[in-house]
Amino acid sequence: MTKSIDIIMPSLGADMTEGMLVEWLIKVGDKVQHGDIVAVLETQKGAIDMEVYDDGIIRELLVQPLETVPVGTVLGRLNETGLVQKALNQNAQIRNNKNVDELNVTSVNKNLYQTPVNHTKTVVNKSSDVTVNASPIVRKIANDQLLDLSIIKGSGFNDAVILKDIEALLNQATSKKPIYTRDEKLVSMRSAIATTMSQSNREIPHFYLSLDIPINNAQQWLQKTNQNKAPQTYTLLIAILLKAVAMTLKKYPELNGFYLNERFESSNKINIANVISLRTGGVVVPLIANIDQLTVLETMQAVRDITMRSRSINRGDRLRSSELSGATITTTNMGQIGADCVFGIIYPPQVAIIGFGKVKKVAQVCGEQINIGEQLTICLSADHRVIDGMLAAKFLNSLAKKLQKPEQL
Amino acid sequence: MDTKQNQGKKMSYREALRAGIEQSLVDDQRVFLMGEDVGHYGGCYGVSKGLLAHYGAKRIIDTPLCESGFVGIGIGAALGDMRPIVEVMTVNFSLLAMDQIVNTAATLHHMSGGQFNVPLVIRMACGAGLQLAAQHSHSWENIYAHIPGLKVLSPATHNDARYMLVQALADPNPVLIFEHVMLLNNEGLVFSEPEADMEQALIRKKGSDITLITYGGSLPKVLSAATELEALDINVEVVDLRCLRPLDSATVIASIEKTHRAIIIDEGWKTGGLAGEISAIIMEKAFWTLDAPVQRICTQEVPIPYPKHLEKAALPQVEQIVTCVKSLLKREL
Repeated sequence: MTKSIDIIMPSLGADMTEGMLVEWLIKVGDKVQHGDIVAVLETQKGAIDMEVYDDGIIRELLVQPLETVPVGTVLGRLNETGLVQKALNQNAQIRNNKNVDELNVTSVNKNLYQTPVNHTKTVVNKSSDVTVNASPIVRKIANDQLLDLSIIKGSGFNDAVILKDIEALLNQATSKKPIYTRDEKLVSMRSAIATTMSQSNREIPHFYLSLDIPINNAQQWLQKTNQNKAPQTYTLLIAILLKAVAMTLKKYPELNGFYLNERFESSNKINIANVISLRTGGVVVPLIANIDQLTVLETMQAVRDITMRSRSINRGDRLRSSELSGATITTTNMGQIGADCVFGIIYPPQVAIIGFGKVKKVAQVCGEQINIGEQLTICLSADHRVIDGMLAAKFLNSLAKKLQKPEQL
Repeated sequence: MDTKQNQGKKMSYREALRAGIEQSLVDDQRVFLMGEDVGHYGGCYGVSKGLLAHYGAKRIIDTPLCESGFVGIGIGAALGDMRPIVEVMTVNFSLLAMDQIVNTAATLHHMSGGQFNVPLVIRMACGAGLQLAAQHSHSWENIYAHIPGLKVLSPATHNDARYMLVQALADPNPVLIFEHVMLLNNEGLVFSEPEADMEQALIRKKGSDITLITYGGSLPKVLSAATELEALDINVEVVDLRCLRPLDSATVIASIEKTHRAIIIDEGWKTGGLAGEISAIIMEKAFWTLDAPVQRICTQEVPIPYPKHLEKAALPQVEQIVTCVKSLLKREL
C-alpha cells in the first residue's frame, strides 16, 4: 500500500504565520526526492525555495499559485514510493518528533554547500548573475512599481523577462494585489522582527556575559592560509569563530537546543544561524547545519554560499525552507560595522545568542612585557531558565581557548 | 501648391537628381557641375545627360581622371564664393581625394577661426548590386560620417534625390551626397518641396512593434520587409536616417521609446560601422526603454564578390530582415 504524505506550508520561524505559494515547480505525476525544490514561497523573509522531505510521486496540488495560506495548510499530497518500510519508519519518526530540529533533515547533505544546483532537478537556470534576467525596460518598470521579477517566468532571450511577460501582471496589479511589493515585504519583515523580539524580551530572562579574547594566533593562521589565494577565496575570521563555537557547543550542549513547553531539550545537531543583513533592509537568519562536522574552509564556503543566497532572488539560488528552521543557536557579527560588542536578543525557542565585536589592536600583557596584539570581544546572551552564569562563563573561556589553536579546529 | 504637385510627379531617381542639379544651376549663377565625364558623356550614370548642351562648358565641366586635383579645385572655388557641385564618379574613387576632403574641406572653417567656409557639395555614387566587383561596390558613408566638419547625406527617396542637393548647396559647410546605384532606375514620386530639413531623420512607415533604422539603398529593402511583416500582423516602424552626419538621434530615440526594440540595417560592413554607432547611441540614450538587444544587419565582412549569387548573399536582404524581426519578437513560424 502506498502512503499519502501531505506537503504543508512550512513554518520558517516562530514569527511566520502565513506564506504565499508563488509557483509550483512540479506537476501531478512528477517523481520527487527528498530535498527537491517543489515550490517557490513568498514569505516575510523573502522568496524561499520550498523543499520536499519525502520521496514519492506528486498526487495532487491543492493550493493555486498566488494564494496566501496559514502555516500548516496542506498545499498538496504525494504518494510515497521506494523502500516502503524504510520510508514508513523514517516518516513515523518525523511525525512522532514534533521537534523543529527534526524538520531539518535535508541539511545533513554537505554537498549542498559546494553544489547547491545538483541538489535538485528543478533548477533550470543556474546563472552566476545574482539578479533576475530581464530586459532594461522591464527592470525599469519593476523598479518603479516595486515588482518582484523573481516570480515571473521569462520568455525573451536567455529566458529574460520581457514586456510581454509582465503585461498580465501589470494588469492584475491594478485590480488586486497578489504579490508582496518590496515595500510591503520590508514593512512585513519589520513587524515580524518586532513581534518575535518583543516576545523574546518579554518571556526569556536574558543575562549577558562578555570576554575579551586575543586572536593573534587566529589572525596569523588566516594569513598563512590565505597566502597566494585570490581575495574572493580568502578564509575570514568568521569561519574560525563559527567552527570554534560549534566545537565548544559539543562540550556545552546546554546552550545548544530548544526551550519548548517549559523544558529544555538539547539538540544532537549543531545548526548555527547567522544574522545576515539585507541590502534592501531588514535581516534574515539562515542556518549552516552541522558546522561541527565541517572544516574551517568548508565553513567559510558555507558562509559565502548562504550570504550570497540570502541576497539572491534567483530561483534555485535562494535560501531553502530547511535553512530557515531548526537553528539550534544564533550568532551575530558586528565586526564589519565596528561595534565593540553586541548583546543580542535570543531567537526563541533557542536559548542563547553569541555576538562578535570588532577586531581591535590592543596592548596585551605578556609576562612582564606589553605587546601589541589583536583582540575581539565575544558576548553571550543566555536564557537563565536553562543556563546559569558559571556555565556561560565556562563556555566563553573554553571558546577562547579553542580560538588560540585554530589549526586544531 | 496645386493638387497635381501635391500628389507628386512620377520620375526615376536619376531624373530626380538631374532636376535638382538643374534647379540649382538656374537658381544660382555661382553653381557649376564638375567631374569625370559629366559633360559630353552625360555622367557615368547618366545623371547629367543633356546639361552641357543647355548650360554650356563653363558650368558643366569635364575633368581629367584626377580626383585629388578636381576636388581641390572645387574647394578653391567654394572659398572663392562659387557654389561647386563636384561629382566623384563613385565613392570608391573618393579615396584618391580623401586628403582634400578630410584634411582641407573639413578643416578650413575650424582652422581659419571661422573666417572661411567651404560651401562645397560632392556627389558620389555608392553601394553594390550591379556586379561591379569589390573595387566599385563600396559603402563608405561611415568613413565620411566619422569626420567632423563634413555633412553626409544619403537620399533614399526620389523626393530627397530631388531636393537634398538644393538644401546642401544652401549649407555653408562641405556636404557629401551619397547616391546609391541601385536606386537610379527606380521610379518614384517627387513632390513640390522637400519633406523636411536635410538633417532630419524621417519615419517612412509608422509602427509599434519594432523600429527598423536604415538609410540609402537599404530603405526599399526595409520597406518591402515591412510589408511582408504586416501580413504577419507585425507592425514595424521604419526610420530613414537621411543624414548620416550629423545623426538625428532624437527621431531614432523617440521611435524606440515607442517600440522598445531596434534593428539597424546598414549596407556597410558591421565592424566599426554606422550600425554600431547608432546602436551605441541607443545604449546611451534609450537603454532603459529596450525590451530586447539591439540587432545589426550589415554586409558580410568580405570584399563585395563579383558573381551575382555571392554578391546577393553578401548584402543585407529582405528575407534576412524579416527573419531577424521575427526572432527578435519571438514569433518564429
